[in-house]
Amino acid sequence: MTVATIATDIRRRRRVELPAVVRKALLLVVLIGVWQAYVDLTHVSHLLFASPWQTAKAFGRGWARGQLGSPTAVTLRLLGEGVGIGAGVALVFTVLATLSRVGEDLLELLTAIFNPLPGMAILPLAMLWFGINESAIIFTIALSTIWPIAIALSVGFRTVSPTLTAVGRTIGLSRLRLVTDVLLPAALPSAIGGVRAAWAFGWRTVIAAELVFGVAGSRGGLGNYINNARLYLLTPQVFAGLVTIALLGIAFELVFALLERRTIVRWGMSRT
Amino acid sequence: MRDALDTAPGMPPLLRIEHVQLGYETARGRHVAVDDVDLALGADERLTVIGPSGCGKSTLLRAIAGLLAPLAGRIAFDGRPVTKPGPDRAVVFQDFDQLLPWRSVLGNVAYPLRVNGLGRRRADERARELLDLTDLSAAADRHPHELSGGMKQRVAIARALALQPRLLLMDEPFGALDAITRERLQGRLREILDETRTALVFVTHSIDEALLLGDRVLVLAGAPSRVVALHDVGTPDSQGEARTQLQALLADDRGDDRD
Amino acid sequence: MRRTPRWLSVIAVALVVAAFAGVTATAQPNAIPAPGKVTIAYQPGIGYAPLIVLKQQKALEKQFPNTSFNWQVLGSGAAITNGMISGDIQIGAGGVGPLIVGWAQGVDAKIVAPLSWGDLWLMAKDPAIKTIADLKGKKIAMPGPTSIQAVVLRRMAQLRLGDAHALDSDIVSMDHPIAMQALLSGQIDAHLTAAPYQLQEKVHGAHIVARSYQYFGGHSFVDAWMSQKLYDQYPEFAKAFYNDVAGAIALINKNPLQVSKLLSQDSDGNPTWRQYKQWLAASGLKFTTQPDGLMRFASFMNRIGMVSKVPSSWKDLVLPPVYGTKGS
Repeated sequence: MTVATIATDIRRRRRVELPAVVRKALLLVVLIGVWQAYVDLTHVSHLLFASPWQTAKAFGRGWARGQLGSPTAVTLRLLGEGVGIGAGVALVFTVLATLSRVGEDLLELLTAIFNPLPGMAILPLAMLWFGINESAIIFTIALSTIWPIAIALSVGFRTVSPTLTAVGRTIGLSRLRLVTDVLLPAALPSAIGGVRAAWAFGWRTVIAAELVFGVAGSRGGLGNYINNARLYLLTPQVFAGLVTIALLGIAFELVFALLERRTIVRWGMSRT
Repeated sequence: MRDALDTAPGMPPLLRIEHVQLGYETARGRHVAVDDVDLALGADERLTVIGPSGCGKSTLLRAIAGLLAPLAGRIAFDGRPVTKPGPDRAVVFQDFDQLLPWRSVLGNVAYPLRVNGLGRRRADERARELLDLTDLSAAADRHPHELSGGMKQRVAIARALALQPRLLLMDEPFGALDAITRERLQGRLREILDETRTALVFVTHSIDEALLLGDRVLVLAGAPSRVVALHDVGTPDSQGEARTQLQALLADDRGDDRD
Repeated sequence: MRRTPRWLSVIAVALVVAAFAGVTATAQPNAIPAPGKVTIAYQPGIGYAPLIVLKQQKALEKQFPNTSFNWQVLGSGAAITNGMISGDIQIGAGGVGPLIVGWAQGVDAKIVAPLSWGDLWLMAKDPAIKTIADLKGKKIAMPGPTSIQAVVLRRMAQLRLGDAHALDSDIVSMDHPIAMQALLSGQIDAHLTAAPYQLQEKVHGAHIVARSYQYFGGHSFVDAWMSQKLYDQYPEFAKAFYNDVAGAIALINKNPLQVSKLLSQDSDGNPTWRQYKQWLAASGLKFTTQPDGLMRFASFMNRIGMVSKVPSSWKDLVLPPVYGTKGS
């Protein structure tokens, strides 16, 4: 046994003793403690920094009164539509790239052009094209999510075992069904990775776009909620908005983990 | 030895291979792996193909399956030229990863049936029959990664047979298995072929396996490789002699082994 | 008697000048203590003209040579309050909206020198938009939901639509210069703004839907703010600043031509001084150190839930130099 394998062995054993959830929860409690201590000890201005307790109150009140619920719904809807469109376009692009040479070249070219571009850089242009409305935000999110998904999918497609595609062909699959029934499921680990990355991109884009955008009131999302709270100098609400975003991020991670457990882990396809 | 073009008398050949040249186009030009193979196979005949590693045995099998177009010559199956793969020529590969990981054992066997137009219930029914035949009924609901190598290969065989192919193409399916499992599966395969009356082309690098499973043994050797012998297996009594002959043939070629 | 050589008289004059300069340079910091570094932030618009006059005349820089002054233009009053909270800005300037929101939340910022009154116009380009009621579901730009324009819009909504928050979800936060472009290019439907943007928009085909004076009477538009803490430390500096602003206002009212040239100079000649002169004459702005309407705004903002408390007097919102005016 090498040192490295012993080390991973020890790590694995400890993980068995203390579930990840418990470990992370403990860490979170410690972090919140440090946060409260910072506020208590430094007497930092309440305009600059909210304590965990104030944040929790603002969070509870915000959800109880629906002031956080509707922005969250708006943001999730924007994100869902943007990432949905992005994933759909990515899928079409990747399938075309798998089926034809022109499609492959096109995808490589577009990815090279657009992938390095931060989604937010497109927003001003999107506002000119679509006007100051949700379409501009959705377009921006979609554009920033197509490329990570497309890259992940085409890597996934390319690494599918040649034997598996040969099997698909010998049992009489058409090219399209070969893609939908063999390549796509076989590329699922990469696809999930891609969508996961896309969610992260999309999150950043949607919050940043809402901060810039400033459509106020009932139509605004979480970014707008935070910005408004900032303008009204309601720092605990700013923190409550941030906490909401963080919790949603964790929730997404859990959903993806569950999805992976139900699929690629169950099928022995995960690479870890 | 009979003439290469001969088949069992009175039967039209199921598979006809005429002066086929196989290989690949590479950046540095055409690489010929197999040259001038000429062969006919009857509807219930079993042919084993043997030769040193890298001699193009698998290439020949892929060409018969329709996964690779010949550079020259012609392959006809059931009187029609082979242009693409089809369920009438089922293939079992050597790799363990030839099963769909996201489908259960039952699903893997039933899936090709559904692709070819069978309803879900009929497909499942038929798949269960084949799992019985391959002693896999107990594992029907498991996923491939939960199976041993031998079981995976049996699933692949069951899947291939599910389509009721007229010709079963097997590319060293037992090559990566331990000796005991291999022996058991060889026996089982013979029984199944007897039951289903399916023709077989079986690639192997084991002389014993070639003699055990084949009616005839095709020996490929050389670079590019050609047919150096097409050997009738005959009765068990004469197999000692056959083995010696084959060993001699293959030994001659060792010097050219590219692998 | 021999005439004194010319070079000697030159030296003598130079010495006298130097002596005076030395006296002022050393005496003044002793006379009026001032902070070492002062950042003054204001917003785009002609309402801030008194500050721009001071900036161009370098009045403060001359008066307080040991203080380094730094002038900044920010897009909204909220951004300026944020800067004052973080300590980056010592003197900010903006509308009464962010001031009162800040006061209610405990931000240390009070009026050290009122700058101007101003009638704020709600501009629209589409002829179909004639009244406040036509604005429902449209996009109305202003610097932000706490800006004085947003308070004015809510007053309009309350009186015309029966609900102060009826148009809240139609507010689009934009700086005035960007909003003007957006209005003229049709990206937004209306712009609640100030001079000179309302004048420029009018020239380019937009019309006035409503005016803030119709809803609040004449009222303060923008003021310069300072923290109580800084005032307590440097009361005389604050007083001097107030006097300088009062002087600039007097100049604006007495000699608009000269001021137009200063304003044009501040924007590198574009717009021209003629343009500024015309704007100063037509703007509906009134430059005065008298704060007005602070309590009207504060109590309205409190009634509609924008702030949770009301100052007991307008003097709660200003620093001592302003006490002497007839504020409200």
